[in-house]
Amino acid sequence: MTAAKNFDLEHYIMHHVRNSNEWQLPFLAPIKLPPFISLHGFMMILGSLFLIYLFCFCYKRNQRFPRGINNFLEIFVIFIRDEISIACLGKEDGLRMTPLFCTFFFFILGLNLMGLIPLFSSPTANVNVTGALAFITLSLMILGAIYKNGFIGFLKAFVPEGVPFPILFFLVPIEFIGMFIKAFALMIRLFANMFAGHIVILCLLGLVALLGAVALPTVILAVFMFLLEIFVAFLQAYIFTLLSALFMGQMYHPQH
Amino acid sequence: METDSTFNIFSPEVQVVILTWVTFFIVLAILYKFTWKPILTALNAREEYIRRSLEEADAARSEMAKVTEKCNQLVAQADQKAKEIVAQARKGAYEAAKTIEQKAREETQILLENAQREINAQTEKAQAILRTESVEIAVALASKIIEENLDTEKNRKLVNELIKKL
Repeated sequence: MTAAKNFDLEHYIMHHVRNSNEWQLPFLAPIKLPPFISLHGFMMILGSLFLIYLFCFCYKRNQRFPRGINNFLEIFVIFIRDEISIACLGKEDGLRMTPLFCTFFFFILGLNLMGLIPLFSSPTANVNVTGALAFITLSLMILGAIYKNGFIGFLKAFVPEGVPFPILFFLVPIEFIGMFIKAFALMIRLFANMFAGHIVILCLLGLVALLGAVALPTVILAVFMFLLEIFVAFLQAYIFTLLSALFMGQMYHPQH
Repeated sequence: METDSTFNIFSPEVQVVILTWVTFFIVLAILYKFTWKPILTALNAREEYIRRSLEEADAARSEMAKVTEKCNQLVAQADQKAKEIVAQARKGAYEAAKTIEQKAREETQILLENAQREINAQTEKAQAILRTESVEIAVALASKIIEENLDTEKNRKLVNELIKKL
């Protein structure tokens, strides 16, 4: 530990995971970003452009038998449509909401995976980004339910059937707060998974910086963490999409 | 740049939140227009196509089974008919042969009877001729022997009686 030469691991890690106003490139001066577009915002825009490129230019329409990238993308779209959207929201609403969930999934997946590419960072490791996404889900839970069932119908979702009247005094506030907690949990879950993954990788690599060549084997661990992170990126995108659909479905069809 | 002591992972950054919404909805709009709608339409069309193709295949299969069954039935019918025709022809031929044989037998019989009758007639005729001639020879011989003693008529009677006794 004495060989650390004043190396501040915490500073080193936090410097890598936090938002800033400049994009640091090796051997080059950091690129200053406009104040409104911070580093995470910039990464988000890059990720979105890549998504649009992938879907608008790589996806070949009018292909009768899907091949290559078409096949790959269609597998995800079919899965989201059938297993997430229609399964949670029913046939009619499910089909209508599929584009939203597809966008959720690929948007989050793209941003998650960005953090794994050197030089880029992951916007989903920023709580503001995940919060904004979770807020979209929350708004759709509330507005969609009001649109679909009317304001009274929306309120009825907080009153479970078959419960004795006095219990409702406790249950209704819990149900009401629960709606916000669900969205809050969405935000924290995605953020924490991404953030923690980066922290673990950076800690393992930071050991090398801290202890020197003795700690080189930790690089192997870091590689395994990296592979795990790829899996987690897919998993969290899937979980966020699935839970969004599930929560919306609960609000749209309160009898379930 | 803020120092680490003031850095908080939960620090709100309004511009990031707003930027997230803006980016997300722009991406949603663009992808909706150019990707999700075409993909979903294409998927529906393909599913519909596959469903219809399968139905058509089923229909074709059952149609084929029906046709095959009919074919087999027709072949069986034809076979049956052919057998019947052959059997009938054989029976007809057998009967024709039988009638021909019968006729031939009858004709043979008739011919035989005719021949028999002819033979009998000729025999009787020959006997009669022989009888008369022998009588006349006998009479002639007798008249020569007794030299006109007896009446020709009486002698003939006598000779006839003698012949009958013989």
